[in-house]
Amino acid sequence: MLVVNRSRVLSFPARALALGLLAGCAGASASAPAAAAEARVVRVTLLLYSGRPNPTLDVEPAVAEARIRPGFAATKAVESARPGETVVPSKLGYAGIVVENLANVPGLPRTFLVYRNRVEARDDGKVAIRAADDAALEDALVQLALERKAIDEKALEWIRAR
Amino acid sequence: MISTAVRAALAVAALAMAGCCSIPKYEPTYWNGDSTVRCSNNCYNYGNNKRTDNFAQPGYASGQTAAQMACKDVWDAAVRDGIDPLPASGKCPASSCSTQDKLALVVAPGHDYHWYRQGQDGMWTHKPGHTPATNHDNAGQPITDPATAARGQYTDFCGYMCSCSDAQQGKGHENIKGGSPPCSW
Repeated sequence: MLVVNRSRVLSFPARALALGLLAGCAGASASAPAAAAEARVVRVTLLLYSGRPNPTLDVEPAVAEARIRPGFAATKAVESARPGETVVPSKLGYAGIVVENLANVPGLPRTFLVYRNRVEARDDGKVAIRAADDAALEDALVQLALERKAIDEKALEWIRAR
Repeated sequence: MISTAVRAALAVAALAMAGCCSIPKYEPTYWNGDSTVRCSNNCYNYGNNKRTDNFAQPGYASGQTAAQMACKDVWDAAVRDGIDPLPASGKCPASSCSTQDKLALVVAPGHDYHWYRQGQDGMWTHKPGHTPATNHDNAGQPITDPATAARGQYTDFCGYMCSCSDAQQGKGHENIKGGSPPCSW
């Protein structure tokens, strides 16, 4: 049975409410700490499922610099994206990883999608397709997800079946 | 025990109460062209042709989602939302003004579920999670029947159901919802 760390897939409103309750706040003020916390992370979402919400983990900026940025730096721009083009395949099963750089970690785009050795970087409305010689960036993200228990070995089997 | 005839009559009555139902065309631009629509709507949204922007889950709107990722659990959750099992006739309920759309449910046992919808041309299309809507299966082939399509780990074929849709994209009439926040990547 697949196990997903539910604390890591808690929705934003739920997180905001939980933080608000813990802080003894209510109403609009409750979302402020949560929003600030959101802005201090790099959010990684693994595209595994069609119906269920996908597993997500929040990575601290220092960890992102050490574990994610080297893999991204190893990619090179290969072509300009055509309108609507994406590296994420439209299929059942594992379809890639989305990284949202909410913390604005230097050297990483605001948002990027990773599938195998290809990366779709999105910054300021511009889309660029990049590629590396290997899938080291994808492997690093999957390893982080495993370490943080956002996914388990069963989910890893899905990813390896790509 | 409700007879098949009574069940069919109830389905037609429900259809009349819901207003006219239509079989939507395959128009992927609606679902794929806007990042919020593509990102925030899943296979259950697409199958029912209803945009909710919160990753709709079977049973969420009616108060009880599937306890397990198994055909019976997901099927029953969809029924609670008002999605009807396909009648024994093999055709979705129709009246003079409308026809319900045929859906298909498949499950990756213990992991996930997935929905397809049939188009006006008899072919099937789907939207795998956050990814774009498509008319191809995992082997890159057009989908003539989800029961025989390449489905990867979604090995269990659960059956066909009927949904009251609208001719307009994203405006399905069924009451479905989810609890995820919108996304726009």
